[in-house]
Amino acid sequence: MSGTVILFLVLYYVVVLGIGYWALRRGAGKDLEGYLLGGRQVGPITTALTMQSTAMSGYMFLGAGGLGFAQGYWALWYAAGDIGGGLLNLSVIGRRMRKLSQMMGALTAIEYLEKRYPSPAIRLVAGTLTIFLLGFYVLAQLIAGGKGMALVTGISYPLALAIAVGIILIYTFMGGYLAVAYTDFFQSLVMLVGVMWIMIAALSELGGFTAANVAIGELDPTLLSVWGRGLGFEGQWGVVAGALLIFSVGYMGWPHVVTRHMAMSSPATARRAGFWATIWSLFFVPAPYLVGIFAILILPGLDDPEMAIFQVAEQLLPAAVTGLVMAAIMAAIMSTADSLLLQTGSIASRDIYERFINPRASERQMVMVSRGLVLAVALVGYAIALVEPPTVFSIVIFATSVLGSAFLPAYVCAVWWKKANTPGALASMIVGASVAFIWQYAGLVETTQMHPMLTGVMSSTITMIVVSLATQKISPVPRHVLDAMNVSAAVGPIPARYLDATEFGLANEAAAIANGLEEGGQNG
Amino acid sequence: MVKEKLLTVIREQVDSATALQNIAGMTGGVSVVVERSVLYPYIRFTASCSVPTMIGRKAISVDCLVDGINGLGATADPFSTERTVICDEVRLQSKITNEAAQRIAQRTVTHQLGRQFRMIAPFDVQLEAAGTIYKRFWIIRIGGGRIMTDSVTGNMHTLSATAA
Amino acid sequence: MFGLPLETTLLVFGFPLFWVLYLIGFLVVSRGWDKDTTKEDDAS
Repeated sequence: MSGTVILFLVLYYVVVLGIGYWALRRGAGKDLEGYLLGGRQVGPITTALTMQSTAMSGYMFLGAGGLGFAQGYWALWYAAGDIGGGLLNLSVIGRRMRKLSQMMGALTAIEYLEKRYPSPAIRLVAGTLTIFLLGFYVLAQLIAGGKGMALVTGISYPLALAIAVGIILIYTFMGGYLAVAYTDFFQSLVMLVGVMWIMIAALSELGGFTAANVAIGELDPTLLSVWGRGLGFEGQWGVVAGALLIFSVGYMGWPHVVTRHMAMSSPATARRAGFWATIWSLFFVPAPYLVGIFAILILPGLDDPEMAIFQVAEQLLPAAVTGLVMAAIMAAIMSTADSLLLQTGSIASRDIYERFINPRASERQMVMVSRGLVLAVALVGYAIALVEPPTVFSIVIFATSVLGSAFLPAYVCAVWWKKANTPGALASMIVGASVAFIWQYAGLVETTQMHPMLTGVMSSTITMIVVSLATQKISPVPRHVLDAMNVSAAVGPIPARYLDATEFGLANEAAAIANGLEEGGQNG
Repeated sequence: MVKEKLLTVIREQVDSATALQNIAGMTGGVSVVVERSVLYPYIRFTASCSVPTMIGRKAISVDCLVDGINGLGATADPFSTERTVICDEVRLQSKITNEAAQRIAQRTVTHQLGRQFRMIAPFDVQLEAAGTIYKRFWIIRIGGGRIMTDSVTGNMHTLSATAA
Repeated sequence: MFGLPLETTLLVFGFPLFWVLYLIGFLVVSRGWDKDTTKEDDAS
């Protein structure tokens, strides 16, 4: 990479660190959000942009681009589901989950599951599964970060990987200032411009969308088909179905997605954020796949397909822009890795250690446990990334399949089906995860032509239904859970505009007040 | 004879007339009337801590309120209170003990700050108990249903109509 | 169109179109979110 690229890359970090430093040095009160009294609403565009910046990670820049390069237009089956994934989840469970989590007082997505399906086993299974699979996702980010850094700086992959891991660990253990909203916003903006620029540069290099497709068709017409290179996936609707499901419903298993529902303030805000997020997705989800496809023409000699987008940027953008965009991408990857590690650490310390091993754990002990696990994940991740790095694509697809299969019925039925009980949820999580896992590793995808996501989700859903119904008598859904699910009882002739303005955060107070008034309250 | 009581109530930003106006504006022709107000208990703590970040420690001081009925904790924006005599309002009794509230507040502040600063680092949180305070909610009747309005933020929520 | 076979064109443009329609539908339907919940709870 040229000196200019590196210069602008460093410049980017200086600016970001500067913003962070300034933001942190400002008055203390400004940084913190109040919940009971605050009701502070971030504008919907900012929310949507910040939401999407967490979606921009190693998968987008390496996995998606790599798949496009390797398989041509087949890759868009994955984009097809992804475009609407956020909206789908929001529309199906968002608002209900927000209400229920508020009523049950759950702080995390895993705690939410335990409160809805009361049983320590739920927390243990959900927590363990999530840690294990988040670890995979971290691995994907480490590989992306290491490869990206090696490409940009020209240093060897093992060293670049070590530096990337080191930076991520420092960031996670010491945190602080890159975590400010302003830096996220700035980062999203840079990446937005960067991705658009790369896309436009690629198209103009190739003479336009049609010309590019014609040229690809001349190279190998199967790349233009929906069945992949050499028509490898022809007729495999089971795999196609899985590809569609992965990023539409597969996200249900990801804590950071589910947690977003829990943080929703009102239907009106959620609707607006969902609207902007979908508009964003329409343009930016297909982009990396398409750039990967165009890279077939631009970088015919590319040996690592997953480097397609980086190399296209290096080739087509002015050096300064490349520097900035690469920096933003690296920052996004590290930020994603940091978020994942934080969640992993938090689940390990609260959902496993404090819950099962040491209920009287002090905050310091929990920090130690968190850090211990994060270190372990980072080191194991480093080892795997070094010795036998799988593709970012394969890791993310695998992890999302297993998590999605495990948790989809649990989260959806939590709010939609009053008969979904603890045995049902527990069984569905175990069965879903196992089926998806085994399908992948026993190589059943090739023989059955069915995607692990598809078989995983089908089996977990069936299990939830069958086991819940079979065990209704011996393990009914507890009264207090049903009450929490029933919270919005008849409200009379309240117009829709008012209902839009309902502040979810007040649900507990409302219920307590309604009860209190019924009981006669306490006068004076 | 109704007993009078001196309580600490969070200073309101939205009075009953404004609350009524907001709701009347949304409901078109349906009749709206302020039925009463309810005081909701929170146990208040002031938390101070020194959060370690990459560029040195940052001193944070934040209020934490523990919901007196169900024990949910949350950090809060700065607010002011006033000592008021109340006699004709419904007041809900706090059900959470101070010890339990203290633990909850500790947990809430640590969790919140850890997430806010996106780091895993140990830091001590010093909690100072500041008693029980109340927030006023305006209960407004609309036709056959009731809505409550938060007197501080103006946010609203329906009340189930079982007691209607 | 665009030099792509029909199926591919459907994939590239069809799904985005589907999601746009879904979005519109969602915005319309979610105007009465709470009302739907009320009916669902009463019915169950």
